[in-house]
Amino acid sequence: MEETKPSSPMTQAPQVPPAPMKSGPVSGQPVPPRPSKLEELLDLLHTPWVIAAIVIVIGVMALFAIRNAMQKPSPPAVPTPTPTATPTPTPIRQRSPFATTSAFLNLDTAVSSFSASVKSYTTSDPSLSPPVIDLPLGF
Amino acid sequence: MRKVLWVLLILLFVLTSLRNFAYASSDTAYQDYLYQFDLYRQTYTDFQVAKNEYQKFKSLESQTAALDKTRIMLVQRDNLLRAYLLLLNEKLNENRGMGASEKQLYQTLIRNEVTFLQNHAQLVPSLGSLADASSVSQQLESHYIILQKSMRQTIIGISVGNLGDVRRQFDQSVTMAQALINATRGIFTPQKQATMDRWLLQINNKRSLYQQKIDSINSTNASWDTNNLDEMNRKFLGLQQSIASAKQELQEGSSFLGELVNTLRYQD
Repeated sequence: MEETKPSSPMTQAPQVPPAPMKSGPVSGQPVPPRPSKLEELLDLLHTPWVIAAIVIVIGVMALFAIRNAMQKPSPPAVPTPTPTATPTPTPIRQRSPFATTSAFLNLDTAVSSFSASVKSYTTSDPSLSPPVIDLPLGF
Repeated sequence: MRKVLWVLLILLFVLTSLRNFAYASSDTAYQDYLYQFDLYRQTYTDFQVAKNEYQKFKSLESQTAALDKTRIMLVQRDNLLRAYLLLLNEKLNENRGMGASEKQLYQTLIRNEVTFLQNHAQLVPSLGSLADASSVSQQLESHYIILQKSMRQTIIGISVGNLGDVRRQFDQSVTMAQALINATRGIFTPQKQATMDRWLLQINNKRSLYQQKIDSINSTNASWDTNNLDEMNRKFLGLQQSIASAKQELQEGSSFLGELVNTLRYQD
């Protein structure tokens, strides 16, 4: 262990009590330069959480873009036709000059009567079905 | 003046009554047939009860009762068949589409059957035993197929006759249409005239097809060479279907005639 030698009073300056410690740089020491906001932002971008968030956002946007591209274009709207108030005109047929003659009217009546007769004709008359009887006496 | 009015009124009443009577004769025959059928059902039930009692007890009393009920039932059975034949006869009388010779043919068939049934019914009161009753009943049984043939032949004849009446109206309409078309030659355009001629030809074709079917039906109806009742029923149904087919030809002809009339009605 080394013993400290007592120094001479001439050469030794009076001891000054040390100044109380202050917070902050000590004046006289070299102060490192403060990082700018941009640098801080870039530093922030390098954090894994931010990178993950950015990747997720970009992925979602890409998905939306693909989905929109895949969708078929909707057909153009067809206007619904609305019925017109005017009816289809019936062609007016010109009657022949003898359509009012008795010969034609007789024919018309005869054909109508014949049509009614042929419609009302029945092949089998239910009142004419032969009777069903039991023949053998069974004694 | 008043007397004349009274005479006219009475004459009108008499004529109306006669007309109703003429139309109602087949209705009356039908009502009589239904009445005879009811009586037959009743007598047949009584006969069955008496027969069962006789077969159960075999006593003289039950035997006599069974013979009585058998007699009544046999007479009623003949009455029922005769009532049915008379109904057919009335239907023949009212038929307007049948020719006189055909009508006479069917009426002869009916008359023969009615005579047979009358003779058969006369045998019944003299029956002295159940064995006699069985023997008399067998006479009808052996004749039954001929009776059924005559009935079915007549029914088919009546149906064809009724359709013949409809055909007569068809012929009248075609004749009138033909006359009208001939009278109007030169009024319509040549194209329309040619169309109407072609349509008339098609209408006449329908008439020919109808006639072919009717000829075939008449030919089949004239010869019933079977003695089996089931086969007879099958043939009867087949003939009815053929009549329906012939009617279809007339129905199509009617539709064509309607179109022809509409064409004649308009100028273009």
